[in-house]
Amino acid sequence: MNFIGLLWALDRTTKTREKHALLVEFLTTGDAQEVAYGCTHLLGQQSVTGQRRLLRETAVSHLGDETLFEAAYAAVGDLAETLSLLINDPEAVLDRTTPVIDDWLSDIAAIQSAPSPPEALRHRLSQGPAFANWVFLKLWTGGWRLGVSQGLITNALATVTGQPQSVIAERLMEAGSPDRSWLSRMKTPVSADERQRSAVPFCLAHGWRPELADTSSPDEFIIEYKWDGIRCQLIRAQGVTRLWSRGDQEITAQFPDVVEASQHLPDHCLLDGELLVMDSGRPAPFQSLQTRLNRRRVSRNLLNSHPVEFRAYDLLRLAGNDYRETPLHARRALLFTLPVAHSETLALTSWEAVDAARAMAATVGAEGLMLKSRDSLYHSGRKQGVWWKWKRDPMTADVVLLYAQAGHGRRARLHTDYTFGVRTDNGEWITVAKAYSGLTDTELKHIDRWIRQHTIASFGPVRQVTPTLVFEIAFEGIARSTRHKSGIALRFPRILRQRLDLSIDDADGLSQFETLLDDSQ
Amino acid sequence: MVTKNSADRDPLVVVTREGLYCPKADAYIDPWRPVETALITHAHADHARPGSRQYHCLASGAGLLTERVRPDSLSTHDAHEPITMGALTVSWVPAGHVLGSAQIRLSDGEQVWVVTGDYKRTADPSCDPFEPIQCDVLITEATFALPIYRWPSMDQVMDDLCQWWDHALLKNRQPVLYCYALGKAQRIMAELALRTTREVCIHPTIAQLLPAYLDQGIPLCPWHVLTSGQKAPPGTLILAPPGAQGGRLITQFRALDEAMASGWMQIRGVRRRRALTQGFVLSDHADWDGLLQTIKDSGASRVLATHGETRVLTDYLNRMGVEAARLSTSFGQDEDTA
Ligand SMILES: [Zn+2]
Ligand SMILES: [Zn+2]
Repeated sequence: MNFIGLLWALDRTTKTREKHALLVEFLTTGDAQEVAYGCTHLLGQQSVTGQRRLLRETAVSHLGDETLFEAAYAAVGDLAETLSLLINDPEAVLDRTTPVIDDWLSDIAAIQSAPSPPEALRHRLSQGPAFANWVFLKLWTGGWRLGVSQGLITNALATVTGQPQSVIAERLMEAGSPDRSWLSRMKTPVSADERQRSAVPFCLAHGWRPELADTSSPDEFIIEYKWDGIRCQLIRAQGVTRLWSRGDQEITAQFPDVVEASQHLPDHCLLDGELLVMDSGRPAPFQSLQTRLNRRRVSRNLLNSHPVEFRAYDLLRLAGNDYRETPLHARRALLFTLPVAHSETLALTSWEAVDAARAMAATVGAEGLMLKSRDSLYHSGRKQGVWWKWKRDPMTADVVLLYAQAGHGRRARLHTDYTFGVRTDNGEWITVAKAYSGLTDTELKHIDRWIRQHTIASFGPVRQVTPTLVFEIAFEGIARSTRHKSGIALRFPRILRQRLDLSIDDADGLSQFETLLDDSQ
Repeated sequence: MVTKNSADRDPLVVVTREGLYCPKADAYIDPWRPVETALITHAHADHARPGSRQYHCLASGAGLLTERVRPDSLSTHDAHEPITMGALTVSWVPAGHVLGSAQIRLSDGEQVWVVTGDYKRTADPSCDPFEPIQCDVLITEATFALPIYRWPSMDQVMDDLCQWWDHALLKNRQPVLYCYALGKAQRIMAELALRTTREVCIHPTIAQLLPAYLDQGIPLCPWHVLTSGQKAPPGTLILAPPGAQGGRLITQFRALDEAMASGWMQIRGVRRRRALTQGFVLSDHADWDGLLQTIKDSGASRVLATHGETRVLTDYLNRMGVEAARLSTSFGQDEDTA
């Protein structure tokens, strides 16, 4: 499979699992140079920048008419694609196996140094099939719009190399030039330094089951508030701080204030905690944290108005030692020796006191309680019977927007009625709830625009969208249902907020609803 | 040849509330309201509407027109056969769009006007090929009048189609190809008959139109008709009109691989918006080069455009020094815009 073959197949599927399989196939069967250049290009790390003008000039001179070009461009909406359709050889056969990148890179160099680059580019395109031309021209402009995220590539590389995702993610940042040794650099065993710098899979909690109170006592748990921020691992290694959120996203650049505050931490430590916007010493609601997310540059004003604190609740590495196999109470004892804000242990000796604390959580800016077995190890993923979350809302879940429909009255022109879904164990999407919005008008407008741009099918007034956006919904109860394909029915589901910090891989699965179901019966 | 002035002063076709009217013959071409005399280019719903008293069409198109419109009174004409209507001589000339599709040539002895209806210049085993006609005024369609629309060769499209079909079967999925029920479906069946021994399973809407093709002796690949509660025979491709997507006949199959055959599939964004895994660029309309070639072949001193990207085409022709204007019609709004 060559790079054209990869893109050709990626362009013909919308399923994440198929995309993963295609990337793995490309990584295993592709030419080393092709793999290196192709992957870094898909990651947006390469492109022949500043060449949009050349593409435009080539198209206009080919048509001999600028207005005609503008009309064509407007119909297609993408410069590289427009040019690939304007100039190609309709009879040329698409070769999806022979490596192309080496030749293409020299073609690009030749075109750029030709006496008339537009003429040279035009000649080059007139010999290729339209799809190959599209790929060739995308090398100049970037912006593939194929639904291939950094996470997807990281994942495929992790599968192929057998290395942890966070190590791959970091190596991608610092991979250097995409030459023939690029993939083998990805494959090298994790070095001691890398191990010190890398994040570890997060330990996740299950929803608390009330009947657990019958068979256990509060002092078996370390109980703390459940903070309503962004889960984050803070790593301090070789004098550098790195922040990783769930889904192997490095978010260091977005939080210079947190990096600054971490300077006094000892080298070689890894803490697990929560990023919170602080407002007069108290965590502010999640919405104010959202104003800090996904910004290219963080202004001084924003740093002052929305200061972020890292509040640690666990310690996983210190001075080169891995403490994940050490009981939680011992890990926390170590944590409390470090100069870092931490999440206090609540001294609660009866279930009545626990219940009361949960009910009062909102007053300290928390969304409930965490109950963690005192002796629990730091497991990767969601292990049963170790960590529990007990939110102040009866039940909540992180679900994914699948369908949207226009609202009524004042909001008739916006898509405000959402249908949410989750994935089954087989990775299939299944709808679990319909909810009307609890969102602000600004948020609604924003999401409406997104919905229009990401509609993959329309059924009358209903739009099906690419599963991407995660929302936290709350509901009063859950019951088995034969009327719903999911097998469950939620009582009074409503939207709490959009979770910009979560990707669909962080959303709950159907199995988690089934756990709730068992709990409530 | 006449001057621009005489075409202006003495037009052979004008647009009225009812449709394209020929004053000198007191007849309408593809009227969109019921009239006394309707001259029909082809049976697509935006061109052939019920309710008129007397219909005229090309003989090979009578079957489809009868199936679609059920006219009380229909006169059929051979290609090129001159018919006198009032002060005009009218003839039907093959347009290569679908079975029985024609351009209509009008002459009053001084000027020649041609109404192309819908047409394409690429080969199609399910109908007679387009024939260029010299004229003074050409009324052409402009559905795909943008230079990005240049149709790939049929060999390539059919190779891609068969590859996708096999791949779907390999993955244990039922391939479904959406295509217009009148023309496109039968063209694909005729192309398959030329190249392979493959069989298709067709939506009832398509099946309904097959007798008209069989009457004209068009060779089609073997077919089965899709029925509710029954699996498509193993190995077959389902052909269905686009409106059937999401409908019961299609959704009864669990794992689907859905594709569409249409000129619009040229643009990736269009295909992806319809949630299709694959799009085949296959159109029964003229592409950009086909439109320009036809205008050139006609030698017309004036071009009027209907359907689709009329403004792009007429503006471009004007800049190139060819007199051109848009005609506002109701064509291209119903079924056949692919
Ligand atoms: Zn038509
Ligand atoms: Zn039409």
